[in-house]
Amino acid sequence: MSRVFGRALAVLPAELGGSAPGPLHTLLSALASASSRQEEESLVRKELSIIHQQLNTANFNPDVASECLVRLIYCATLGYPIGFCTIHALTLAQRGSSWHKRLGYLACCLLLHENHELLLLLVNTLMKDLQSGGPLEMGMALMVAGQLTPPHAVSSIMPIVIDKLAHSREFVRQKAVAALTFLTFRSCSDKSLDNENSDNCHPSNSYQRDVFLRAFGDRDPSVMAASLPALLHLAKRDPDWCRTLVPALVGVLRQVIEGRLHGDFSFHGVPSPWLQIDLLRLFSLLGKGDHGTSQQIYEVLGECMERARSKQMSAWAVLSECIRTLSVLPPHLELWTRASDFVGEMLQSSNANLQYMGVRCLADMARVEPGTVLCHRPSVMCALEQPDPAIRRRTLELLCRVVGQENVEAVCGHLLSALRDTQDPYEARSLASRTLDLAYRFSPNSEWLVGIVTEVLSMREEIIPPDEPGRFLWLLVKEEEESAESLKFHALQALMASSTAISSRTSQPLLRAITWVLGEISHVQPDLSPADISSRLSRILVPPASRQGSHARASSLSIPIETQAWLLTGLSKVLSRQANELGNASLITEQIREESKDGGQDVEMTREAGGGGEGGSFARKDTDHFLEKAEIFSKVDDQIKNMNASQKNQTSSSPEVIEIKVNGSQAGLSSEECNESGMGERVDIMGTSDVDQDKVCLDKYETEAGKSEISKEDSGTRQIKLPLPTLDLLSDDPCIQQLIDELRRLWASPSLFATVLPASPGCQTPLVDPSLPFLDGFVAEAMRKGAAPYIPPQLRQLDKQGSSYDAREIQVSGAFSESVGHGTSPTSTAGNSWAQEAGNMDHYQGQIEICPLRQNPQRMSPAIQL
Amino acid sequence: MMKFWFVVNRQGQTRLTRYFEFVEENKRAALEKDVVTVCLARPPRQCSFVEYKNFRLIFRCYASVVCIVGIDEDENELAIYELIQNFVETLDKYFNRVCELDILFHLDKVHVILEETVMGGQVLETNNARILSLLHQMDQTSREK
Repeated sequence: MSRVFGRALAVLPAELGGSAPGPLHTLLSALASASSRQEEESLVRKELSIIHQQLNTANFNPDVASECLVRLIYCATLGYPIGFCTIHALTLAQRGSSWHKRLGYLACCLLLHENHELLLLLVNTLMKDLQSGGPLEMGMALMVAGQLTPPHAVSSIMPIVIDKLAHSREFVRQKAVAALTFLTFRSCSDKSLDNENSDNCHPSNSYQRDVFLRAFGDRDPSVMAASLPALLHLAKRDPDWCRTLVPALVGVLRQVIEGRLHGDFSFHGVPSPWLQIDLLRLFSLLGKGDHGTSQQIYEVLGECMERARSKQMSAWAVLSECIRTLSVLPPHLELWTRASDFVGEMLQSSNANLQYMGVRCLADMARVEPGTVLCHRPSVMCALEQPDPAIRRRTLELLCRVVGQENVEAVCGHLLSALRDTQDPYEARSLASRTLDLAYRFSPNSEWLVGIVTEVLSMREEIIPPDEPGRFLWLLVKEEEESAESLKFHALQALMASSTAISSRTSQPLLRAITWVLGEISHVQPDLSPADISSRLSRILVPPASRQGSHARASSLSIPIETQAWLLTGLSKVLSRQANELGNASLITEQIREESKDGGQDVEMTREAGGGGEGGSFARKDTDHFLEKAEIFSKVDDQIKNMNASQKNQTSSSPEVIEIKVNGSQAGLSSEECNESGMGERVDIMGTSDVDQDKVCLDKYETEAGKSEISKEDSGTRQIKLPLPTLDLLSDDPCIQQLIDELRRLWASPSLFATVLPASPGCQTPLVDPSLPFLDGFVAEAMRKGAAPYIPPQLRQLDKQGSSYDAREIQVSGAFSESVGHGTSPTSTAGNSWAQEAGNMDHYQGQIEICPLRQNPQRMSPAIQL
Repeated sequence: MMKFWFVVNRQGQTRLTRYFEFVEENKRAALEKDVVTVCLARPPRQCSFVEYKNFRLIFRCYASVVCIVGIDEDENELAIYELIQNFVETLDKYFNRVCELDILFHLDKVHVILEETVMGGQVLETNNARILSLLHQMDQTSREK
């Protein structure tokens, strides 16, 4: 507490604190002189323990209890828990009288809440007071019943409360109405109501209507005013019935504004402003969309607006509510014009509160008639430049209501500058989502739209709406017309530029957008080579600086798993294009070779490291034809060179290399060039059995060259380093490892890659048949050989003993169902690739275990591990 | 609907807190501190309505105290602003020129007056005379006892 205050407290006459310096006075003085938070805390805790002792004495003394409770409420205001005294509050409410009882009830209201265990005791006290107390006690009990009654006690209390509606004292009737509103409508919105209580909610709507109608018709204005919230609820539920009340409501409002209520009900010369506002709210609910009802309302509304012209703020409050109601009713020209004038007055007022209300009213009117804003344009622009953030915010909301294609750029500009300036995350979030909404709806051209989206996505991640970047990417995909091309082009440009500026602070949505766009629509720009893009993506995945040493893991892990999956999927799209091109190149090579009559070239693949391949010469039968093909081929070759070169520039602990040894004798290349392009290297990084498996797989191709067409097609593929980081560098997540493994294996056979992940432009949704019918043959074959049928995990527990499963069978089928079920990557190519690759099972059978998780047994999911 | 009603002094110390919507105990201190900081930091010429998180704050400064009310979307801000004035006028009439000390020493009575004005977040009685007559009746009965 401040020293000034403390001194004031000290010189205060003791009378102010009750009798000669009472305990409260002592406490307050002590706290005033406390110099630190710790001191205050120790004082308060000491006081609380003293109070605890005082309250726990055997004899109940209402004065002592009251005094203690007052101090306790003060401590609670300071923030200290006083839950231990709830029972004493209840006792005081039960056994005290007059102010003591009131204090007890007050303490109960402050301490208890809906789910408190002592609420039942309170209900008993309430019932007693309601049934046999005097009017003051009844009033108190009704107040508490109207705030705290638990749902299960509603049925017992409600009839008693309804009785009180006929009490002779008006304050009892008023509180009974308020309590009844709470009991009826609060309980109805409570979703945890069970069936027995639901009867109390809607037993008979007509009964409720009668009750509240009676209250509305009460001769006392306070009771009538208390019934209006209930009528509001009824009007929301059943507007048709409430419309019958409109004449009566109009009559009431007329009486109020003509000043026929007692003078006590006026507030600074304005007759009962809050009552007027409640009535106006009712009118807005009832007149909405209904011409007939509105006709009855217009006249009194106009009168209300006229009489509300005074210097009093409460009058302006009534006027704002009038304008709000008017904006909801069917338009009335004369009233609308007058409302517009009033709004102008408010906007030009020097009082900031009135300006705020003016902007608010204008926003309400603009929702119906955006042209209204035009009349007040200068004031609105002034409001936009106000230093007051609340007014600026409201003005921005107003502007959002009058956006069209011609002014969307200006409005979004304002929104973005507010977004950059604001510190409040709630406001930032709402501004970001509003900007994007307006941009999507009204964008004049693609370039601007892409700019806005990129800018919002570059902001802090917590303010970006959760449906981004999905919404933007969907837009890129679904547009079929001319504008789609332009949108894709600009999106590609912008995100390519952003991809060079990626840092650890880049938001995930932006990263994902970049990945997706680079992967999916980079084909739009033919001069962008897949090699370039794949190297960009791999650089994002594992930044070059982090590829060495133990730092590698840490920095890669800073990309969340989901984004890693996006990146890998994007990479696979780009690599599939590369593979496609390589596949085409190999076909071209085949053709050229066939065309050469010399035909002395070996299509055999060399196996050993260092085998640079025979540099043979090609007989060129048809020069032109040859040159054409060579051109295509060298283009592909350049790409490969670039890729390898860029990878060479990176650190020496290079990514794993899948090498496909190929025929070195290619058109137009000398053996030196072959060697230069890394032909002769076989960098064997992985010490795992994978490489052996690849070797074996390649062996298979080679030895069964005659059998399968795959090997024939692959014969021309060039060696290339796959731009994937080692498994260690990425996360432990099995899904990510699976994706990498898939890519690696697919890359090992580009024609398979092209089949599994065709590089045709456009996003075609892969069709997945979850029952995996192509596996039927395999499963039948395995079962024929004696494998046990697949048992789902939940049944396995039951059947554990005495079962002899073929572990491989379980693993294989389990792995497939799980890998297809995994939805980590945005496209389901992960599942598809496995599913489709399994179609070529013949090659693998008996040779390789397909389950990817098998390599790292400790990472197997429990379902598979037996 | 109102969510809460605070009365704080100019230094930011809480004098009265009333929650109309249940807020857990451990979150109250942070909410109070935040709300008070936001309101007291406003320059005097700016409006008294503050957007805070997903609701609004209406505050009104007096000589030694500031009343802060949290409301949701539906309420008329100016009406609540005037309601605060109504409440303070009732206090003024009951305590005869109310000051901060009155609020401190008669916290229970201030709570009762608040409850009579606003019950459970809804405006109940705005007629000061009626609230005061009720309180005087209670004073009389307790004096008789």
